[in-house]
Amino acid sequence: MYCVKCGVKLESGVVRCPLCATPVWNPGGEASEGHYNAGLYPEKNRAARYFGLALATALMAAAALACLVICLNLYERVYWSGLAMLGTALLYIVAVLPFWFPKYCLWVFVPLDFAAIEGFLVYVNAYVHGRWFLSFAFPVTGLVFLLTLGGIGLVIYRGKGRLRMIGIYLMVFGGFTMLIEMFEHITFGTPMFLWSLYTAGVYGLLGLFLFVASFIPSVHNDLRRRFMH
Amino acid sequence: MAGNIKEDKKLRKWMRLDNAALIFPAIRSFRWVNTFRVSVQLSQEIDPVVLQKAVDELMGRFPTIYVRLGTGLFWYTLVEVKRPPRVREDYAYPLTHMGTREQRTCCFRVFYYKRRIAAEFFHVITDGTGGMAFIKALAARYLELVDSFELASGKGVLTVREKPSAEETEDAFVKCSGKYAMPRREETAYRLSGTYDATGFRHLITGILPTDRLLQEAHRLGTTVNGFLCAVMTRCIMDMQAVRVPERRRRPVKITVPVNLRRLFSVYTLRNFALVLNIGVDPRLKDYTVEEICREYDRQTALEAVPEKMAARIAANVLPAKNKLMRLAPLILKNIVMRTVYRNVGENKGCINISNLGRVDMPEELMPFVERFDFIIGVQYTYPNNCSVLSYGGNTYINMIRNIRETELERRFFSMLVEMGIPVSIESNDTDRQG
Repeated sequence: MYCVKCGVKLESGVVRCPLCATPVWNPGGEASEGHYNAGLYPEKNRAARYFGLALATALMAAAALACLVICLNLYERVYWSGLAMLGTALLYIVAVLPFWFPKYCLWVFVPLDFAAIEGFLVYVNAYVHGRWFLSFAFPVTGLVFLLTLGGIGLVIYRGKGRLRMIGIYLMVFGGFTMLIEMFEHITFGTPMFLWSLYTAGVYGLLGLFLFVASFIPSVHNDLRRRFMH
Repeated sequence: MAGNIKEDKKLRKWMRLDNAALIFPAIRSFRWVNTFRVSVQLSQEIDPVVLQKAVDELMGRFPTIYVRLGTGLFWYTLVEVKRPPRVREDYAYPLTHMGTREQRTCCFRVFYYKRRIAAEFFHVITDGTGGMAFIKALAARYLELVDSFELASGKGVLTVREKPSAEETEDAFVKCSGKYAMPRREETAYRLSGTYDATGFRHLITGILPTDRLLQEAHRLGTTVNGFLCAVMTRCIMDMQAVRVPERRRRPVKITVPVNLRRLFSVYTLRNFALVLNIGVDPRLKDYTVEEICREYDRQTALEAVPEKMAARIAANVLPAKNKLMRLAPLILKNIVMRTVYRNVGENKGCINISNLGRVDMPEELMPFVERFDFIIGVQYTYPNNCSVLSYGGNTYINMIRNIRETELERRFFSMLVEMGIPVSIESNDTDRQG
């Protein structure tokens, strides 16, 4: 039995050529035995990993608890130890928690991380008696979250029109910097268009260039070969 | 006992790493370690109990192989293992990751699957030639135990009845080093790339070719089998680069070819004794044909693979290791230095390895029981593909391993051989089969 495309001789029973994936027509051919133990994979050494994670958990919990005890001893109230404990919890959620699971699921952990960040900011806002959470921290963090999701989607997506999407993404990113300055202006009363015009201009132009380039095959191919291979 | 092996206070036998091995523990990572596999396929199903007995019995015969990696403050050592490794059933793919814990237990492992016995080695203990000597001895001992006969010594297979010689256990690099160290400067080669398989699966495609047809074609082009295979591979990589990279950004296409120094220096050690040459052409100069690349390969090999130049290359590795400052530096610092040097002057000078063990022979009385041998080198730290070759029983087995999904290089390589009139049979460990 030969591959019609590569011309190499194949083992009987293979469904497609291992070299070019051309389907093989194999009428009634007896399947040859595999050369490797298809069902057997090496066991991953999870014990060391879980030991490390347990150690990190214990150390972080001890640090948070120590802060609380010191704070209660000194001031007889939670005071700054609340910040330390929530900061530690945030660090734990972002850097340690995902490793307890066998696979890092982006669509679960990224929203969870942002939710934790929002929660921490709410506490900081209350701690400093600030009035910036709803008008600044919340919308900015929310927009960063959406942009992060979009960025991850772009990294994962390998289909057609990727260059065009990157162009649009960069333009949106430029617009986002203007929104940040707007929220800053509303919340803190800083002058508008002090810096965001430049970032929006740079990202907008770069995005526009990629967007236009995606319609010109020669430029598109050259960019793909250079940066996307 | 051979003088190269020392004993410590606890009467454990230990030895220093040979000069080539110094780099391997330094550059290993959590996901990658430099390993290779040699395997033998017999005419009968493997009995794991008998195989274990054979592995146990060979322990005294191969004192440089039954070792584990010891870590000190200033250097790594190879310490004899307390007991031989347990034989295991083979996995779905060769060269599964050998973790640090396993390296500290034993630096090699033995697998069986149906009619095949395979041994995988951490490169720190031996090279392909040493590995082949071991697998031949293991197969011979296994057959002796199964079929109750005794193989006469001196037939190219090491038997349990002989004692290891001092020559087998020596670090030949120190002995053969020249006084002048050749500079390592070389132009960086084109880098193959693809979609990394995050599962860690090693995809293997084996091409089986009739050796006489391969020899005929190589002789027609006035070169050796290795020269011919390197030329075909170079041509394929040149074609890939032409498609992927704009002309002004192209780089030389070079094949990393290990040279067995035992023949050059008339030494027979079972430890590492090979050095690599990066041989190739620069496609920016001209569009070389396979014939021209063959000539270029022969010219470069004839120029470089001579004892004087090899001694100078050895010196480039040996002399820094003798440096007092380097010897006094703690291991962690040495590792950083070696890793940096390796990244800058190591792998990036070639595109792919082609490691050829040449023709493998077995004593005539064992030939009916031994169907085939295979030699598989793992993917390198940064290369996604690698290739290893050997010939046995009239066939040449070309094993191409990769950690990426794309099969473009393999497809181009084997298709080109078919176009040249050499029949190629393909086997793969990707389980795309009926039923």
